[in-house]
Amino acid sequence: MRKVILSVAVSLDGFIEGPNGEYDWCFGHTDQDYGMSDFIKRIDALFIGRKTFELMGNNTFGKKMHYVFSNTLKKTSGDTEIISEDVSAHVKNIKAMKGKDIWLFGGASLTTSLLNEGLVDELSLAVHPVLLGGGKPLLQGLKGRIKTKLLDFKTYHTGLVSLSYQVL
Amino acid sequence: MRKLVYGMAVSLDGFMEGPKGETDWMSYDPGQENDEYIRRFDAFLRGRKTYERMVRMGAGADAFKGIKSYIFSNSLNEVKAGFQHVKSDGLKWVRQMKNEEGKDIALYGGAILGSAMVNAGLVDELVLSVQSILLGDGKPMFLNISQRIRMKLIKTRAYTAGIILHYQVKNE
Repeated sequence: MRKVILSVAVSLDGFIEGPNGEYDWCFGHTDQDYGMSDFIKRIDALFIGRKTFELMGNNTFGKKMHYVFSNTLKKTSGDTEIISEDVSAHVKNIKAMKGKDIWLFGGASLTTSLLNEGLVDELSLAVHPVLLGGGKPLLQGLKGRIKTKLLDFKTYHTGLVSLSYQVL
Repeated sequence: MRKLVYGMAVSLDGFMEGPKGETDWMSYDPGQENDEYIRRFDAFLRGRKTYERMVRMGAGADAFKGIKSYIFSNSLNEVKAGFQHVKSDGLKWVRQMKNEEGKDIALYGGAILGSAMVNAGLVDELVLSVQSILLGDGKPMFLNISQRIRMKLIKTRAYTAGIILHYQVKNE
């Protein structure tokens, strides 16, 4: 079964965006790779929200299948499929298909609903060494506690800590 | 100058307590408060709620030898014997204390006291014990942080229930 992996950058106080939507605090990948190219090799598809998809397009990380979760988007082209209803059933089908793992790209509502449905297998958090003091939290509306197990971690000289968890 | 080290256990999604104040998800790390770590301190600072929880659990001020236990609260009239009460001007008091002779100072929650100290630029190091659990909701680890605060990673250590992230605060 393919795994769904939430991989996202967070501040030390748990925000994925600053109070005004800023993400200039993210190291990006200009200075070094932070394990990204290995991760990209591991996946062949992305789960992505409409807003991010419209910003990013479907070729930022090379040729990958993009599953866009949206109620408003109607048509796309290329390696893209829109999922608007029956999210859980669709995700289960996709996970059962043959293929590599799937990158759950965010945002908060898609991530939270998939976590609530028990459809996320791993979390990969790039914890940045900064307190933002406010902004958009990693998750919103989780129904209850979710236990995880630390699989691996890696530190970088910039102070970034990459944490990998298995969702139990 | 003595260093002020703010230490706390947090969930993976950044909460210090669950929605109803639950702390049952925290697991004690035998390594975290080992002799070596404790030896650098001679004072523990705590807020009222943390103090009240300690009292409920029957913990005394003398749990760690040679360490004075200070309770910050302007609403309490008195604290139990053995504890020191800091009733007002907590930030000023800490600023003075840092300039006095002595070992380093450990601050253990809560969020109000800790965030005020961080905002005032008084916290030198941050030690987060990140537990391997998502709570979904609860009391966030920081409140009203007034500006971005950058950190330098000093060290990390994984243990059975989570990982300890130890930072130096860049107070600019």
